[in-house]
Amino acid sequence: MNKTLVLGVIGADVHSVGNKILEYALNLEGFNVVNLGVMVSQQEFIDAAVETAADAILVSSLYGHGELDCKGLREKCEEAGIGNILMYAGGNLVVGKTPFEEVEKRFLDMGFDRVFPPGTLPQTGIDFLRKDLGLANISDGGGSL
Amino acid sequence: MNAALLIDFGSTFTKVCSVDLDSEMILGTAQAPTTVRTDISIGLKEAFSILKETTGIETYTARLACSSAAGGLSVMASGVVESLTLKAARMAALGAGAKVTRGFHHYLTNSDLKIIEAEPPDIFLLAGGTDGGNSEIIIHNAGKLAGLKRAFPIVVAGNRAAADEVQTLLESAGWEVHVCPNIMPELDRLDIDPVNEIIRSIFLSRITHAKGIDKAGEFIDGVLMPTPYAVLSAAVLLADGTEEESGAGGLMVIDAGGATTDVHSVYDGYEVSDDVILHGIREPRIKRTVEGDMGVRYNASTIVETTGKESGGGLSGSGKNGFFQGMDAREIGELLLEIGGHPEILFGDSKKEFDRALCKAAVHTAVKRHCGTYEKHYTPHGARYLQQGKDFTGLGTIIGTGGPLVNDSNPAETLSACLFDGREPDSLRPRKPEIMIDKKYILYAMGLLASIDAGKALRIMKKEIIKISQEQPDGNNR
Repeated sequence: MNKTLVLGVIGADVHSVGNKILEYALNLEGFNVVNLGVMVSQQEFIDAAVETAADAILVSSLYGHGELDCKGLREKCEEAGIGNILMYAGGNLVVGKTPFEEVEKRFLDMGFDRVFPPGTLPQTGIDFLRKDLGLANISDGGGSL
Repeated sequence: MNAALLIDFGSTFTKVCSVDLDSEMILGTAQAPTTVRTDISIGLKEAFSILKETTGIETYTARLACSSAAGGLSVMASGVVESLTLKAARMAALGAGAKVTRGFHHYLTNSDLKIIEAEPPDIFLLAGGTDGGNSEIIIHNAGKLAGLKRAFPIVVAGNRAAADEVQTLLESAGWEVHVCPNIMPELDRLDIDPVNEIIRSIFLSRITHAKGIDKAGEFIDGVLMPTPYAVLSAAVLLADGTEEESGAGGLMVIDAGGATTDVHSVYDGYEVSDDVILHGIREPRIKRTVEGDMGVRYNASTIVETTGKESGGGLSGSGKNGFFQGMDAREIGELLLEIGGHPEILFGDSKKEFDRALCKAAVHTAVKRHCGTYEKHYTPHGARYLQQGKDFTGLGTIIGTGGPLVNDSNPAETLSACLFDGREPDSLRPRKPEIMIDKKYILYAMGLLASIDAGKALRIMKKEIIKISQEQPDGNNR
């Protein structure tokens, strides 16, 4: 069965272009994409993931408030009975010129499994998804972010 | 004369309506107490003989009935997530004219089972999971239901990947199972009609018999549908018209009653501008909601309490924006006691204002719950609105029906309590609709008549449902 991914832009963020591109690319790859669009709350991500028995939640944030918006998402997933779900975050996650390594660490500490900086191509995320969901081995062994 | 007799076996009264099919006129209406506990045909015969005094008609070419007697059609529903499949299941059951006595989400527990067994529904609607989505919960819940001692038909409308297993589980335990397409095949798509149809067909094939409503069989051609479904069908016909004749366009029917206040709408409600973002499940164009705590007789004190809190007027609801403004809290308390002891009471002139305040508060709350909401967010790109549910601000027509509104001396003023209010800008209620009233209480009858001649039913409604509104000023509707 195809793997199901819940996709959306979290918080009060209305950036929809990247969201559409990701949906398109993930669909092409054969994933079953549940795209919640923009301005999605934590609860909506979780409800959608529970109802569709999703394999991963992919959170985008472009407007710099991603850290605030994502805080507590892993804990809420645990409460909702989907604590082990694969969770990615990507985009322009914090305001200012914080080095990406620091941003990545903060999001990993929050319970995300992978974190992607601005400018990441869809294929990079797809390769990691295939690996993390056990779909196929990728040759480059994961690479650096 | 070519005449039709249209009957509503209500919970309290059996109503009859006589229609001349040639001249497309209402000849008369009458009512008598419903006698479902002994023999439902007794009350029908009584109403019929009262009607005969005014119409003089003995024989009818068609005699059609709807029913909400003996508790109406009760449905319990279960889903996975409350705001998703459970909400969809509730909407489907309500749209079929049922009342939803309980809703469960996630795993059914043993205490849930006790509740189900204590007050078993007429039908259980088992939903949950998008297609290919969660299947554990619906299978678990089917297993739990299978072990119950009380039997009722179960409609399965969940994840299609789990449907076979659910069906086998229940059928091997001896249950009557009806499998429908998934009510929510994908997260952003509902498929409500098949569930709606199967619920009505179960109602016809067995519920009317179980409740003794089919005893009226020799006097009528058939009980065709639950009463709320007849009202909803009339609303759809009046809004959309027939192939030959246009309808009135989008509309909302507000049915205030002693035990519940129902709201029916036939309206898209999703024509949004660029700064509006839609969230939550997309509600159907034909939507019905039932407020079981907003009956102007059986829930009078709840109504006072609810609106009292809302308007900051304390228990009495006599705050400056309250519907009970200017009324003495003690006096309200005494009136509530009176209603509590005698729900059938009709107040005389001196206490009419209290009755109207109750009705205003009930239609206000019921319409507010039916309509969608806006949530304003300031984003780095300016203000954006999250819309959940349907936006009725542009709606063209509202129609009042039900005893408290039909008998009101100024129903336009009472109904205006449900309109958009600048003090609650987030509630997407109608702004400036035409206000109309179903003065002769014929909507159910026209819903029935539509099943044999939609054109006649439409033309009669256009004649009989009359406009009563003046333009309402914005934001000053209480």
